[in-house]
Amino acid sequence: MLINTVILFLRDLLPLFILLCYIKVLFSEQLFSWSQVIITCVLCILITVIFLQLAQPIGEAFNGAGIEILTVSLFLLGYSAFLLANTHLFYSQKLIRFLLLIGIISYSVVGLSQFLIFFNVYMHKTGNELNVLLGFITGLGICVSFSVLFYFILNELAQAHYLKLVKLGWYLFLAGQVSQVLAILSQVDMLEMPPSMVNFSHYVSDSSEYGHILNTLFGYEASPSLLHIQVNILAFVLPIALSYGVYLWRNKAIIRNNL
Amino acid sequence: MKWFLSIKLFFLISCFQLLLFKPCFATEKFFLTLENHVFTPSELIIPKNKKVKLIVENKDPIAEEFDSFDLNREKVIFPHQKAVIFVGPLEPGEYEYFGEFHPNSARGKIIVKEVENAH
Repeated sequence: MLINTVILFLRDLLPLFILLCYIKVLFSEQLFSWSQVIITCVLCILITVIFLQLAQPIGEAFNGAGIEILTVSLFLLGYSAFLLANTHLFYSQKLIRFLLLIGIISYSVVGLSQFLIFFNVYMHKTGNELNVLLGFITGLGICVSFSVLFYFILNELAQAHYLKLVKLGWYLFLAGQVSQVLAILSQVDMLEMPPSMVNFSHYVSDSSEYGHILNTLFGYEASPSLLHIQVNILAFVLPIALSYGVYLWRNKAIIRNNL
Repeated sequence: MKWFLSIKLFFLISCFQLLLFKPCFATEKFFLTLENHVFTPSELIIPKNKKVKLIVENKDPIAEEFDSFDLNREKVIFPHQKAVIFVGPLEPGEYEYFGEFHPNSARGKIIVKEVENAH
């Protein structure tokens, strides 16, 4: 029970902690006021609670694929919002902040809802309170200590003029998150996954703690298919290509204005 | 701008591949029941290299999450509800699954074999 709670923390909530670390380092100029942070937290909790209340009817919709479709939509919405916020296509800080909030809320609803379903189950059981509480404290402790350390490393890298390295990590993280949609879609027969190409289970299995952390950091799969690798690469390259495209377009516009 | 063209080509190939992999065959059904946090049958035999439809019924009064790292599947099954999970095509072997909320009791495996009448 204790280990299970810790694993669920790593699986569902660690991605949120890592997401916030990256946002804090990469979008430091978009300072969020305390009121905005509180509003975001309230919105996340509110939408998650609504989602949980409606989870059963949503699950029955679309021939039983309702939850999967909603999860995929949230993943894609989050990815698109972060993609647009990252390209510096917009000068408006307000708009970038809004896109970041959409991304944070989308990813939070996915993670929090899965975690709260687990908690709801344990609320109905008796005799496990102490184990769940210990698991909760341990899981939260691991997530907080990992994210503090991770934030420190990211911040140091950014300060030491290795911001590009941090950005690469951010793109890998986003790619890893969005490539989860493949497994979700194939689960409900909306996509057929080809067989896996390689198998790294002997080194790091998906079920291990390292597997969970690597999966969170860059979407590690012990036995990925060719399609999974392709989508991962594509999702990784897309923000780089888009940023570079915007950079070229802006340079051209500046030259044209000077002429 | 050759690299940009390569990205576009890569994107088009990936999209084309997604279309190619669209399912088009009827799939065989297999049933699993969850009662008192135990999956029945605990061993399910399915044919190799075929996609199958797994129907999991949760007879318990609380939700459970069907989870399998081997199959790369996870789905919440609400109380007294059925959930459909598509699995495969798989190579012969054993693929473990468990109930995420009761991993000690709710466990089982899917055995993939070359069989005439899998059940």
